[in-house]
Amino acid sequence: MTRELYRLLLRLYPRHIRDEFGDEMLAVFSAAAHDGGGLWFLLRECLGAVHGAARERTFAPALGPAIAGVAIAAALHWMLYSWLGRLLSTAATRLSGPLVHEDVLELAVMGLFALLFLIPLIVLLGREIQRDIERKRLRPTR
Amino acid sequence: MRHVAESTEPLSEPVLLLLASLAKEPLHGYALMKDIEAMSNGRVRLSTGTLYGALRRLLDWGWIERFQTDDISRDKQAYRLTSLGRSQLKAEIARLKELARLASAGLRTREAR
Repeated sequence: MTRELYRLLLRLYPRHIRDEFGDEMLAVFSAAAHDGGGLWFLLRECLGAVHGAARERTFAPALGPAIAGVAIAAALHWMLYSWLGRLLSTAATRLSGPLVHEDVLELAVMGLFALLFLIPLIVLLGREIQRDIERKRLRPTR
Repeated sequence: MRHVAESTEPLSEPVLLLLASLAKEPLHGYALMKDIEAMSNGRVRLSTGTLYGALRRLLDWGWIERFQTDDISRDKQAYRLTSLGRSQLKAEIARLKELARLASAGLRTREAR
C-alpha cells in the first residue's frame, strides 16, 4: 500500500524525470521500506517526494512555458489595473467634477501596477537569471 | 567534452557525502543511501526524493555518470564519480581543510592571549 502511495507521489514529478528515475526511485523506496519503514520513514519519504517534485518543477522550468506564463500574468494584471484605473477616474470625476483629471488617475494606477507587479517581477527575474548563470557556469559544457 | 571552471560555491553536506561515497566505488541508489547514513553515523538520512534530486543534478553537471554492472535491471542502476566530480570533491576537501586551518589558527590566537 505504501508502495502505491509513493508511486502516486512520483506522478508529481515532471514526466521526463519520472521516465528516467521513476523505476529506480520506487525500487529504492521499496527496499528502504522493507528494511524498516515506520510512520516517521513514510512521512519523511512523502515530504521528500513532494519537495523533490516541487524543486524539479520550480527550478527547472521549460523556458517557453515560463515566458508564456509571465506574459499572460503581466497581461492579466495590466487589464485589471487599467480597468481599476478607469473605474476610479470615473468615480472621481463624478465626485469632484473637473478637479481631478481622468488621465492623472489612470497614470497613478499604472504607476501602482509598476510598483506592485513589474518592479518585484524584474527583481525576481534578475535573481533567477543570476542563479541560472551561476548554475550554467558550474555545469560542464560541450 | 569540455568542462568549465570548478565550483566556487560550498557543497551541501548530502552532496559532499554522496560524492565521498561514490569516490570509494560505484554504487546504486539504495546502497548510496545506506552508505551516506553509515558515514554520517546516522545523522544524515536522505529520502529517496532528495537522493535522486541530487543524483539528477550531479548527472546533469557531469560530476557522476551511470555505470554498467552485471545487474542490468532499470531499478539497479549504479553511479560512479567522473574525473570532473573527483576534482570537485578534491577542491571541496581543500576548501574545508583551509577553513579548519583558519578556525584552528583563530582559536590558538585566542587561547594564547
